Amino acid sequence: MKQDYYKEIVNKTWKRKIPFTVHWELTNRCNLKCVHCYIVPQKSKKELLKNEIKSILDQLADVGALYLIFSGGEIFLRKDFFDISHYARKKGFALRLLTNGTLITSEIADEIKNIQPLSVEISLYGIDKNVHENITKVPGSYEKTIQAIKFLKEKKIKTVIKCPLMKQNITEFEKLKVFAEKLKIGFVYDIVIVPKDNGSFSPLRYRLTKKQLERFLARNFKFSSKRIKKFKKDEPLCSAGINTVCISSYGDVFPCVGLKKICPGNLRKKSFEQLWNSSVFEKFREITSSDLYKCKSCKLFSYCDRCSGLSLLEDGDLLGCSKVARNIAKVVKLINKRRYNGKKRE
Amino acid sequence: MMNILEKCPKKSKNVAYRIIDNEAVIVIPEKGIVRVLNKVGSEIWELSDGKRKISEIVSFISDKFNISIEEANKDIVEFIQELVEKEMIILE
Repeated sequence: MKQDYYKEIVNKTWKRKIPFTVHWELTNRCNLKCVHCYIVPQKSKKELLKNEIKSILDQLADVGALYLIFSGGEIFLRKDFFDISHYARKKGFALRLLTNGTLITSEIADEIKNIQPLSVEISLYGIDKNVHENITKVPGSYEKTIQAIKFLKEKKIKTVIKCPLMKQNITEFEKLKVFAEKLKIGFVYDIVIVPKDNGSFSPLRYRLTKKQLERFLARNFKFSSKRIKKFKKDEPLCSAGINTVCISSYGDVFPCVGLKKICPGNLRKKSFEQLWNSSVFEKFREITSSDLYKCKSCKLFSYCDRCSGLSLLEDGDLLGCSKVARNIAKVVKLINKRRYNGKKRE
Repeated sequence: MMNILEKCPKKSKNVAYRIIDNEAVIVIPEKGIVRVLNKVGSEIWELSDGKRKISEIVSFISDKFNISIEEANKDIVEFIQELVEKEMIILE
C-alpha cells in the first residue's frame, strides 16, 4: 500500500499540537447585510493594523502554520488586503479567501491571481437575483457577485460557490449546482445556520423547516460505509485547538470560529505561542469524546454530525446534546430506514 | 553534469511550504499539488536559497548523511531536476 506522507504530516500536527490551519477574520466590516450572518462588529474594539498582522504572521510561520483562511466581514474592504496577502505568501503560507465577491473587478481578480490562492470561496445564495438580494439586503449585489465569479473563472483562479441553505433559498439549490457544474467550479452548501457571535438566535428563524430538511436530505444525502461511525472513547472532539485555530479581526484567539467563548486572550497583549499554550487551551484540549455524556448512549450517534461550538452557542452546553444536530440525525436515520427498508447499510 | 552543479537552486515563489518535524510540506496552491519531502530532501529544500550552488549542497549532504560524493551527486541532481520539472524549484 502506498504510504500517505501528507496524512502522516497532518497526524504529526495533530499529535504535536501544531496550528497547521488558521482561520483569520481579517475584518468585521461588510458591505452586505446578510440576514443570517453571525458576525457582530464590536465598535469598542479596533481591528488589527497591517503591521500587527505581519508580526502575527511571523509568529504563525515560526510555530508551523501553513494554511491561512482569510475571511470577514468582507476581506476586500481592507485597503491593505493585498499587502497582507503578499506578505503571507512571502512567509510561505497557502491562502484560501472567503468573500462575497462584490468588490472583485477584473483588476482585483488580476491581483488575486498574483497571490495564487488555493481557492476563492464566494457566497452566492441563488441564481434568482431577488432570492440572493432578499438575503444580502443590498440591491445590485447579485450582478457584482456573478461578475466576480466570471472574472475569477476567466483568470483560471480556483473558485468555489458557497451557499448556506435556508427557507428563502432552498428552491435555488439545484440551479446553483447546475450553474457551478456548467462553469466547472466548486459548489459547497451548508444546512446549518448558526447563532450570532453575541448569542442572538435571530438567524435561526431562517433555518430549513423539518419538511424542507427531510425533502432535501432524501434527495441529496449520500450514505456510505464511512458514515457508520461508532462511539470511540478519549478522542479529541475535533481539530479545533488541536491543529486549527481562529483569530478575530481584533486579535482575539479561539480554538475555532464557533468557539469564541473559549478565548485565552488577545494578540496585542500576548504572543501567539503564549495563547496557544495557555491554560485555557490546555484545559480545552483535555476534553475528549468520553466527556460527551449525552452522546455515549445516544442511538442517533452514528447519524449525528455534532459540533461542540454550536452546542455551546445554541444549547449552552459544550458537552451536551446539540439540538440541531440531533434533529438532522433523526431525519437522516428516518431516510436511511426508508431507503434500506430496515436492512443494514453496506 | 558540470554545468548543473554550478547552478543555484531556489524555491519557486509559486509554492507555499512549511517544515514540520524536519520534513518539508510543499504546496503549489494554483495546481492544488502537495508534496512531502523526506529528511534528506527537506535538507536540500532548505539549502535551496538561490545562493548555494548544487555542488555545495552535494558536499554538505555528503558530509552530514555520510554518503559518497558520487552517490550524492547523482541523487541530488536527479532530485533537484524533479523539483524543477514540478515547478517547485528554479535554477539560477
